[in-house]
Amino acid sequence: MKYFTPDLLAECRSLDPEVAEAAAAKWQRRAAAYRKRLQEIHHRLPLGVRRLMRSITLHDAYLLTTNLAKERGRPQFFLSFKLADGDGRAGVQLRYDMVKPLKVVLHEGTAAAGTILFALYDEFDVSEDGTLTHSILMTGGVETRVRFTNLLVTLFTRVVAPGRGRSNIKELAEMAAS
Amino acid sequence: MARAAPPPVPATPTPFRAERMGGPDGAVEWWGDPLTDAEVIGRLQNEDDVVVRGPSWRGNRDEARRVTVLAFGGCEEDSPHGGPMSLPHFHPDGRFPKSTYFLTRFPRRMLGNGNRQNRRRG
Repeated sequence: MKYFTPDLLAECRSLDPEVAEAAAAKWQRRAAAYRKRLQEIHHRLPLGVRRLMRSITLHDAYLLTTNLAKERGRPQFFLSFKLADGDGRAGVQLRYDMVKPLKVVLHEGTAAAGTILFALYDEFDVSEDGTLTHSILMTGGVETRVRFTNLLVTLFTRVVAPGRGRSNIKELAEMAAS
Repeated sequence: MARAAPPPVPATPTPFRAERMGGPDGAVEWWGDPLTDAEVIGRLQNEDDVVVRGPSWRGNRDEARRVTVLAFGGCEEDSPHGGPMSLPHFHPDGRFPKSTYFLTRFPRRMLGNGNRQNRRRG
């Protein structure tokens, strides 16, 4: 995360009003800077990314599954979420065509094993060589960073996730390392 | 046609009924008379939104936290997301139910926008 960083979020949540108010102002500036950045790179974002940004927000979305696959030798990464406010859309699956290994950053060192993962904030960016990055900061200070060339978005009208109730952070980290 | 001026900000942080508007800018619409604590709690527990309006960011935040804790026994704070008019808000601990409590003020840059703004309904 370059703009909506976990450190700044922690400051925004501070019980010290001096710290929180200054951080809130900084957050507004960061949000404006990110919107400007998105405008700059908009023409370089593939259709799936633009569709995602246009149609839903991942904020408060409940992480259901993370899956890795290989399609004709090329790695793909799948994330599925149950959406909090989807305007009739219950969930979403994101399928990335990855160009570099998945990164999982644990900003709080070790998140509690029982932490349920919700998406908080996400950012897209494009590097000089055209590689796209989607960073998603989740509860427990868990951040996934996917570097990809294309994104396929599938919206679900109904989501059922039997047996959910634990975060699987350890398994997610192992997936990044594999 | 002249645009109606926004209603005056209450002298103390005051909760109102609210609803997030659809669209990418994250705007919030609010309406009605000020809510009592009991009305706020009922609304939040019913997964409806509330907005606090008042003269200061800190006062609004404190009041939003207070009533969210009253309703759920705990809370988690989130910074604005989802658009230029989105507001900071509180969730209950664990994010369920997904009721959201908004803090608000009228940022100066929003007041000149006649189409989309955090505004009073009606």
